[in-house]
Amino acid sequence: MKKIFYILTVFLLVILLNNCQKESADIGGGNIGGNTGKGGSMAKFTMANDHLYLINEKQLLVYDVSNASNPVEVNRLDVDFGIETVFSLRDKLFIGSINGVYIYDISEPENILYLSHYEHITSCDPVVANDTLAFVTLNSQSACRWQTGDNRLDILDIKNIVNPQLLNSKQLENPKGLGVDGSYLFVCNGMSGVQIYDISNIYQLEQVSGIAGIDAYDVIPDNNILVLVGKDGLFQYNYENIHQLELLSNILF
Amino acid sequence: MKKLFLAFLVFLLFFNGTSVFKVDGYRPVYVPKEEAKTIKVLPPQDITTQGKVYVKDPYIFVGDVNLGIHVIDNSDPRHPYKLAFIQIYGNHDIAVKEQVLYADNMEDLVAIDISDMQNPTLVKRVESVYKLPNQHYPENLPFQTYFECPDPSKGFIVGWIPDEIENPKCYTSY
Repeated sequence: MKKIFYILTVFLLVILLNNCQKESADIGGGNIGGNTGKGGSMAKFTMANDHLYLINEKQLLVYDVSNASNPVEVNRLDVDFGIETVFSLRDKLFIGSINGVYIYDISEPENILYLSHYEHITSCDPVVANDTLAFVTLNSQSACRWQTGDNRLDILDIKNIVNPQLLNSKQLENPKGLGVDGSYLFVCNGMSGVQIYDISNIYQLEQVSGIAGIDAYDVIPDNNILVLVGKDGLFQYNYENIHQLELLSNILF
Repeated sequence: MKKLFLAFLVFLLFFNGTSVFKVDGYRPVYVPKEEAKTIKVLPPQDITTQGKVYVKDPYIFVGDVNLGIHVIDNSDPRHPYKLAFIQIYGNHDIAVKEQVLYADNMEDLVAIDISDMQNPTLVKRVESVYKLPNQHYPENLPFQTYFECPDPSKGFIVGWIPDEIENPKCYTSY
């Protein structure tokens, strides 16, 4: 009787092992070689002076939207491989790629001029700016940095926009999206929530306020209302009194 | 009899260990082919994958990656509420000018009039501005990364997400 069970067990094992081998033999079937393009292409838009700028994998496309319901293509430029973000500031356009930011003059959307390439910021790094300063967060976890870089906030002088100068840096734990309004800078810092800095003296950044207890991704400060995007939902704060933020509402995701 | 039981247990262990082979890999995200380019409004929905947030008074738009846009009425920031969901498959980003919302819909750019949010209307479609992701395999992954083999009958692939996959028959070989 024992023997029968052992034989049965061995028999089953053989079947299973066979099955296993068959499976490994099948692996590798359904794929095709090649190494062009990039997965998960992210569409990105920016609007400037009645024009919509968007990027696909390797081009910048410009649409005249002076008649909002009828976007008309007016320009198309080959830019680079691995471009992922586009944003504009007055008459300048910034295209973020994994190896830096390309700066263009868009004062004439039909005749866009390449100005320069800045290497210290990549498409993974959130950037906001006012007239003279740009604020950038660099996160070591981002796909562009292969988990080796710093976690920090950089402040750049952009008065000469084609040649940005680093003015100050501040180490942070896990910096993400950021926003600027007047003399305040709002920085999302992962699990540490949002930190708010007075930027009147950028050489001596002073944290004046903050929001704790929210895993914060991004912020949009506008007209005394801060829209905060967190892991769990959307939160709105009144920041008229920066030292005492008032939670207005939240919508949980 | 005990031995029989033990043998059975051993059998079960092996069965579980070998017949279902689970690994970390990538799974395709599909959108239904017949609905891929249908823009329509739906009642408020739960958020699946939060994407870009875009503020345009009196609305806040919250992207749901590859599915569409949640529209939040924010006329009173103390009492915002989900007003509607605009289904735009393959969507990643939006911009708004006046009463027109621009969005990527699969490989196209669409302009949608949102003056009546309960009845958004497509006013222009610019075709083939983008390229759909590779429909056969995920790109830019390390050599020999497992992925669930694509099944075109399930729809168009708009992306790949990391997941635990069972008995993978495909892996990257480039």
